[in-house]
Amino acid sequence: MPACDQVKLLLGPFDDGELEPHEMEDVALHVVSCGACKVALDAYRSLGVALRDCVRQPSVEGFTAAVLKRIEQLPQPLVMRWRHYLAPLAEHVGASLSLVAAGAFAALVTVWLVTPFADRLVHRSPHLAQVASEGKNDVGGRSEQTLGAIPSGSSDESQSPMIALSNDPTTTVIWLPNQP
Amino acid sequence: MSKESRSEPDESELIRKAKRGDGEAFGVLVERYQRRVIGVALAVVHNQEDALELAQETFVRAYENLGSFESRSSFSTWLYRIAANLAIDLRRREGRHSFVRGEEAEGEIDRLPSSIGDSFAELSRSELNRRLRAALDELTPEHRAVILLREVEGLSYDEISDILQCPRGTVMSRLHYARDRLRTILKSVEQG
Repeated sequence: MPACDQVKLLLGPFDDGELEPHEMEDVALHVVSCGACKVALDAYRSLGVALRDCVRQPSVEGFTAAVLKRIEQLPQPLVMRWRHYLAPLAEHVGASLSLVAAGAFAALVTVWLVTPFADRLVHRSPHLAQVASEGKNDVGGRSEQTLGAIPSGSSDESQSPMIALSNDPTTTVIWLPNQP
Repeated sequence: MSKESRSEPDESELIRKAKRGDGEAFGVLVERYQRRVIGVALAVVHNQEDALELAQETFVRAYENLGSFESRSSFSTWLYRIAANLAIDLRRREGRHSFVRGEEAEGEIDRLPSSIGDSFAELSRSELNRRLRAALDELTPEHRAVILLREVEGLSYDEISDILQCPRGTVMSRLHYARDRLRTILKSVEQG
């Protein structure tokens, strides 16, 4: 069992419940059997009561209002002032931007879905004979470049090319052979 | 989830709003912590007017510095730390004995609830309070803060250590010294 000198230092923390469990047990056992330490412990408790009686809280009525009034009088930082005015506007702008973004997305999806069908429609058109798009004709004698024949996707048309494309830097010729 | 947490606004949400300049949200925080902040200030200055003024200043400083508050410590600990620092600074600026109040202390004693008139018990209680206040004023701001935060505000040693930014061992030794000092005074009143 610890001696009175050791326990004396632990009486306060013991009363506050701030000791480790084994220390709590040691001090409790000592206090039960030691009159002087019990008196000292009671004195600590009396002191606590006296202090709580001695120090009284002032009234807090109107305290919050006084604090908020002082805060209102503070110079507002520029960012906060702008934020105050722009916050409602930003909400509307945000909603509009969302709407525009959704519309643009829908348009993109539509174009993406429609384009392959449009392309197929053009390629299968029976009466298209020749489409030539001619810009400036370069007579300087640039050699024609044959870019190649584009075979048809279907098996019965694979022997004859559907489109022959001839190109130089300024002229593009697309030839579509007559189809039966 | 408890009833209380459902009905009371979430603290982090209030802090977030207050950071954006929402005075109403900050007002809720003031309501929530005003009593304890005043208690912390009162633990050091022991003068109601000064404590109220310090508590107001604490909230104003907190509002101004909300941007720098990070959630590493709790908001309450952060507030109490501001209050304690402001109070200790004030106490140091004005000197140890500036808060020994003659007439003011007597005035406060007169306002104590009196159920038994001028009986001996009441007189000795008044005398005890007077001597205790005088003894508290003799303590350094740190000793005084430690004992009042523990005995009056009921804070744990770890909380006191956080607020006063000193090790837990220092809290224990200051508390021991302050208790012994005040106990001696109590004893002399009881015997006298």
